[in-house]
Amino acid sequence: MLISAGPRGSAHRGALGSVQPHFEVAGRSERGAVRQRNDDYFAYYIPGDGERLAQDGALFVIADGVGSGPAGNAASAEATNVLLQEYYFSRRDAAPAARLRAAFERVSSHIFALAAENRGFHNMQTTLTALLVRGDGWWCCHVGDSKLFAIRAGHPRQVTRDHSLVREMVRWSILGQKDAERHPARHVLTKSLGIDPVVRPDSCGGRWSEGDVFLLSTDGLLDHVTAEELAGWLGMEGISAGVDHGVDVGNARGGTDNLTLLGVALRVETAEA
Amino acid sequence: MILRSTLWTMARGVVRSPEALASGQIVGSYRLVQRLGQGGMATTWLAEATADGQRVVLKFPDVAQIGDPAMYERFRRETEIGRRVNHPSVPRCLEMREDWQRPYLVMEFVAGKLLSDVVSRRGALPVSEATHLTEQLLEALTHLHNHGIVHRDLKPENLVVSPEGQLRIIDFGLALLEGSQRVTWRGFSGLAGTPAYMAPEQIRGERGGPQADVYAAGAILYEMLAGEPPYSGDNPLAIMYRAINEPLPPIRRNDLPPGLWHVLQRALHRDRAVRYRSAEDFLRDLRAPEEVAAPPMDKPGRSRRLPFGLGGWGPSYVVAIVACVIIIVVALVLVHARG
Repeated sequence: MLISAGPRGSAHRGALGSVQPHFEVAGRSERGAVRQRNDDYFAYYIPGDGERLAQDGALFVIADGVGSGPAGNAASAEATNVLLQEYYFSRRDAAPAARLRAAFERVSSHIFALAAENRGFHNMQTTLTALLVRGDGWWCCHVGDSKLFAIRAGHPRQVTRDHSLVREMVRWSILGQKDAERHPARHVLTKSLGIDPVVRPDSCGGRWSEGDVFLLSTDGLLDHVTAEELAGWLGMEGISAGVDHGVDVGNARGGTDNLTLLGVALRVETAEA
Repeated sequence: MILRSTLWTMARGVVRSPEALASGQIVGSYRLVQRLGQGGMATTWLAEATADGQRVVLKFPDVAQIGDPAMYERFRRETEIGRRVNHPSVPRCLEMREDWQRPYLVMEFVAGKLLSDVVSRRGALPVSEATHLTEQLLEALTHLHNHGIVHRDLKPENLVVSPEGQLRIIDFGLALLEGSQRVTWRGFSGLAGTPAYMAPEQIRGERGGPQADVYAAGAILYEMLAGEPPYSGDNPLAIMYRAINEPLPPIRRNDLPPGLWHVLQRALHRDRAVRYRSAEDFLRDLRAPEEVAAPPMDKPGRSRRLPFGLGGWGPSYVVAIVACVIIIVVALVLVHARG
């Protein structure tokens, strides 16, 4: 069961007949109120077969493309879809984190080659953030400034580190955090797919608990809403309504960039008697 | 193995690849002669009018910028600046043409060498030559600022010196026109401006006004006198850190008049209340440096923090921790030796 949500998403429930994660997923992606195109993309895959799910896990991916004309949208969609393919067709005896990282690196080579071989895609680049959930563990691979938040008991924690110029400037004590939030170069990236043939992503992981929510977001939405607000809406209204609420507020507050949000709520599926 | 989904992407429509540029090629009513340079966003070519052989410079946007409204805005702005400004140090931008597969600017040809190449080849320049070139730059800036134009990206690579020693400003891609729509560009090439010549307020994210051009002119004068910019480093972040936090390094040469050093200190002052308010004020003091007193001391930037999160502890704590580590290591070595 492949869900390729693209620019519009829908709530999805995966119910399984053994001790497995129970997923509630909702995603939405829009161009916003200002941009002419939507260069964001998201997709996810939850294997319908329990054995496959137990071995390979479910993969949730978000991307934010850059490039003139259709190149930005092509970059984000291509990177997302190829990552899903590369992961699920990779060797299954490798550890999940290694499989995901290897898939990521193959995607980076592919995007680079695509940009190099097609003059119309010259300079196309994209962020890419992926969340893998398998059993009671989760893993993340990430390049760029799209973000993964882990929300527990209503409190969001940003898991990914932004590969952005202003983050580096804060780290170097060139800027304070307040200056960074308003800086005109806050969307300038220091790492993305498309510039170099091999890009090594950041990776991390952990164990999830009953009721945890993961939120993947491109940076445009977070210009208008905070992670705390998003966590609040998701907690009060549920995943589907919460995602809609977040994107609607982003639009209402200006929608200066593309707006994309993918929410994943996890519960432990109890075995059927 | 990659299951190529490029067929999918191709089906969505691909921008037709623009033709590559080559010497001898005809573009509109011009013949390309020689590529002059390639920047992050545009390529410039020397060209000749096919009708009368007049030499011009054609500026083509980078392929990735085609279709981007920001590119058109930049070109429109350069054209408007070229038309609005009539000064010997500012080449005229003749027109923006769209009679070829992509738009391009037609600009007056300026013969000479980039100031960056001059300093790179010769090192520090004689004081008289450096001040004379800076005076020309400040005269041009005064004219631009009086017409509501701020350059925002002055650097030796944007200045051409003719064989006769006349300095001219080229490339107004980042220039700010009063009242013009702000051009924003979400790209990967970095900050607007070049770190070594960026005023501290530009580094912190402000748009940069006339005093930012004053600061850049001061940095250029410093480089002509010292052979290198005031703040340098292995990467742009290191340069920005030093520009925000470190004192202005003295210039080691015996023939630098004290008043001229004071002029530099004021032009490069981080505090805009102390820095020259205008290019005209800078020019006045540059022409009579013997009358210039030392400005108030320039304090480091807002953050006294050390980079990489060490600042909250302060240097004394860092020294104490390092000393403890050394003592522990020495103690372990001694214990091991006795054992």
